[in-house]
Order: sequence, then C-alpha cells, then structure tokens
Amino acid sequence: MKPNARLVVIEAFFAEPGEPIPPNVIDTQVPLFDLHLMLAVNGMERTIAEYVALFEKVGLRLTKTTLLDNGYVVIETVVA
Amino acid sequence: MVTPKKTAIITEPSRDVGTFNKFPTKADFDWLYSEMTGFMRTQVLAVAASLRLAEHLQDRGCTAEDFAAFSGIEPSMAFRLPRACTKIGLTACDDGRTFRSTPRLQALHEETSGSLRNKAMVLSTRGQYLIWSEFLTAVQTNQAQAERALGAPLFEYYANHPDEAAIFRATMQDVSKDVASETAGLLDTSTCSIAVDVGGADGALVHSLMQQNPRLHGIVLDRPEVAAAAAAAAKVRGLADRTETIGGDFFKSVPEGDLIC
Repeated sequence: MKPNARLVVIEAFFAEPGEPIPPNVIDTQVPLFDLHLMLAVNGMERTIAEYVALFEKVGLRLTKTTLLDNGYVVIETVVA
Repeated sequence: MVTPKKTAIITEPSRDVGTFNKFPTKADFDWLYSEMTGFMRTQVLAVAASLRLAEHLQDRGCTAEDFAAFSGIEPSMAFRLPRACTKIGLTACDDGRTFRSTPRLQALHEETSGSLRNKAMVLSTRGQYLIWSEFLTAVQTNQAQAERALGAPLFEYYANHPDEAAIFRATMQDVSKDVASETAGLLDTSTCSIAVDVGGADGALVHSLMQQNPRLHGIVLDRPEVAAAAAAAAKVRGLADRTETIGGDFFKSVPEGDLIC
C-alpha cells in the first residue's frame, strides 16, 4: 500500500454488546450474519473497535467513521 | 430435569422478555416453536420471490387457479403456497380462496426500492443454506463448514454452480448499490488518481466515485467469473475508458491505488 493511500471499509454496523443501536440501523441480523460468515468462509462481522485492533496489526490508523442512512458504516484509514 | 406443570404454563401472566422467570408461558413456547421453523420460512420466502408472487399480486387479488396459470405450478400447490404465505404475513385472504398482497410481500417485488428479492432467493440456495446443517460442527471446531456441506469451499462451489453464483452476485450488487451513492458523497477523491474497488461486484461504488470526479480512474477487483459483469457495467455507465477490471483473488494481491475500498 502506498504511504499516502487510504483504505476504506464499508460494512454493516455491528454494535458492541450493550451499545445502543442508532435508530437508522435497520439490519438487526448482524450477529446472525457473523455466524453465517464463519460457516461459509471462516469470516466474521466486526465492531468498529475490532476493526481498529485489526488495522493496528497491519499498520493502519483510523481517521473517520460515518454511519450511513441504511445502517452501513464507512470506516476510513490511512497508513500509520 | 424439572418439567413445569402444564397449568403453570397456561396461567403464567405475560411479562417482559427480560424479566427472570423460570417457567415459560404458552407465548414463550409459541415464540420458540415459531423460531424453530425459521428454516421453512426461509424457503417459503424464496419460492414466493422466485415465482414473483409480489409482482402477480401487486394490483389485485388472485385465486389459486390464477396463480397456477401465472406461475406454471399445480393448482393445489398454488393454493397451499399462498396459504402458508398468509400464515407468515406475506399475503391476506378474507374469503378462503382469494389472496392479496400485504406491504411485506411488496418488499419482495423486484421494482420496489430496496427490494429484498435477491436476498430472499440467495439465502435459500444450497450454497448459503446447507452450510447451516453443519452449524454444531462449526461451533465445536470454529471452522467454516462449506467444504463439508457442499463438497468444496464456497467460492469453488460457486464456480461450478453458475446459477447460484448469479443470484449471489446480484445480491452483492444490491448491497453495493445501497451504499454507493451515499458513500461517494462522503469520500474526498480530489487528490486521488486511482481508486480500487476490492470485491467490487459490478463496480457500483467505484463508478459512483468516478462519476463525481471525472479525473478518477477505477479498478474493479473481483473473482474472475464476476469481472466480466463489472466490465459490462462500466460500458453501460459510460466509464469503460477509465475502468479496469481484474479477475483475481484479493487474498493474494490487490492493485496499488490512492483509495482502496
């Protein structure tokens, strides 16, 4: 990845346990799709905190998160 | 194990789900049984979507005979299917023979904004559905079960089952369309020359960015069988001269770009 490049992840908003779900989040099935991804491809849904931890492992730094009207979240990162 | 007396079940007053009470009510049993039959509803929804029940009932009620003629299925089944749909709230029936649509059914209509038609169909396909038969094994091993359930890893399975892959791809394109325009409005690409859409399906996201920034070039990276669809979409959107499509595997390599999304 180029030094000044940005990586943007767009995923369904996945609340932390006990975290209030914003009213515009319509996909309340995310915890089930987390399991579905594991069954299908060893994948997972991640909370923003889990993404931040993943980014740190590969040398990226979170710069911005934006919740979209349809419940997806745009997570912007740059090379740390 | 202590089994609660039946009378306790029936007479238990209704209460909030969060209230601790060790004796389930009849409503609790009904709810649980309804949840257990979710696998049936998945298939009913998918068949209703496949047979375009929403489109057929959009403006009028219809009998089993009408629906049989429209869909090509046997009249007896053309009665039993909408009857099951009525049970789960997709259709309504006041006279025992004429079915009409509810607003929920219209969420399966192909032309409804945000239609769930493709999603309903893909969740019933063997690739998405059979893997859940191995859920206990997945929980015990913390490993994907596509190979065990399907005989091959999921995307290898799709490569050999193009009909299912097409439904999966259409569903992914629906998701891209859902987020593309709003995301394009958020991301500043003024300093970018190349944006890479990783797993971009038909390239809806990167194309939205390119439509906002006429100097931006886009690369769509997706599986080889998907790349052709992205190239075709670029032509339709008038962006072919600025779009490169690559059939590949993002676990192996991703092209360089100023914005990777």
